Amino acid sequence: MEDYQPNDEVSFNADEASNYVKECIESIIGGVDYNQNKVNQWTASIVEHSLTQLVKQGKPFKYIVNCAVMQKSGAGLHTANSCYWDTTTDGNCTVRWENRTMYCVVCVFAVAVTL
Amino acid sequence: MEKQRKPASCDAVKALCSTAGTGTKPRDPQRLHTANLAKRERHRKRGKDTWTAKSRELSGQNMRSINSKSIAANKSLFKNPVDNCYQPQPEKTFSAEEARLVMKAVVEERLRNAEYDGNACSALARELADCVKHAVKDLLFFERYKIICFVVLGPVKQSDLCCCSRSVWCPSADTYAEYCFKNHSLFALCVLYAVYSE
Repeated sequence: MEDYQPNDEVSFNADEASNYVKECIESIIGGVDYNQNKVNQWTASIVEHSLTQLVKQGKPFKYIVNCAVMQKSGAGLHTANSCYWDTTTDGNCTVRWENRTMYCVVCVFAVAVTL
Repeated sequence: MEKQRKPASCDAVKALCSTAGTGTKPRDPQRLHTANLAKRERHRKRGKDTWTAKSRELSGQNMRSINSKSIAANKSLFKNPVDNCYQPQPEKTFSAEEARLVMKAVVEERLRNAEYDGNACSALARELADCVKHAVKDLLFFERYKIICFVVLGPVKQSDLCCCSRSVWCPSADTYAEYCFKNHSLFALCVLYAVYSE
């Protein structure tokens, strides 16, 4: 974990967060087919693991992680977000993942904490 | 060539040294105190003699200008103090129930008679997120809150969707509100997060 200096201005690193989230998704639903009985457990695990990885970085952010998993059946899915925040310090990243039987969309929002 | 030793300093040192041996500390504190006072007096006199009038004047001016600047700065701060803008707790906590009512009104008005269209719904989702965010921000004015609006939109079909959310924040100040809309053609899930900025 990095040492955080209180006077440093930190902005959200979307690429780094995206990598953490991709690793979490692969580790939980990487090689499995869609299962209605387990999808609740999968989505909860994905967001909790992603959140744990982000918080471990020790950066001064509040995090919100959102995950939507949908079965592939030919239907479309649209997600959108709109934010009212400080664009210099806050940020978000969206990870889209799919396999043969399902889509997974994970959104991470990071809001800077004033220290 | 041998260096000339200053007899005065040598005598002073010898006077301080004990007669018993070399390199030992003087045993008489009174004599040491007297010698130190004499040394300080010599330094003080030397300081007055060696400074030139010009250098003293310049250093005096610099000191005066520095002092006057700092004094003026302190005076201005005293007259117009900078407010401390850090507020650890909100004066008015964000109301999730009020936000939900606003979201419901906006989403139902916008999607009441909407039909799902794969090409148009992408822009519709973005427009809905913007509308909900603006409505909550402008109608319910909660100070120092950052607003995040997340929308999922899709057709009503024989498919399954599961959405889950977790956060690391301050539970006493931060909160969320959600509303799910469905008609014969499409569904829309709208989640709004309110994060307090200290």
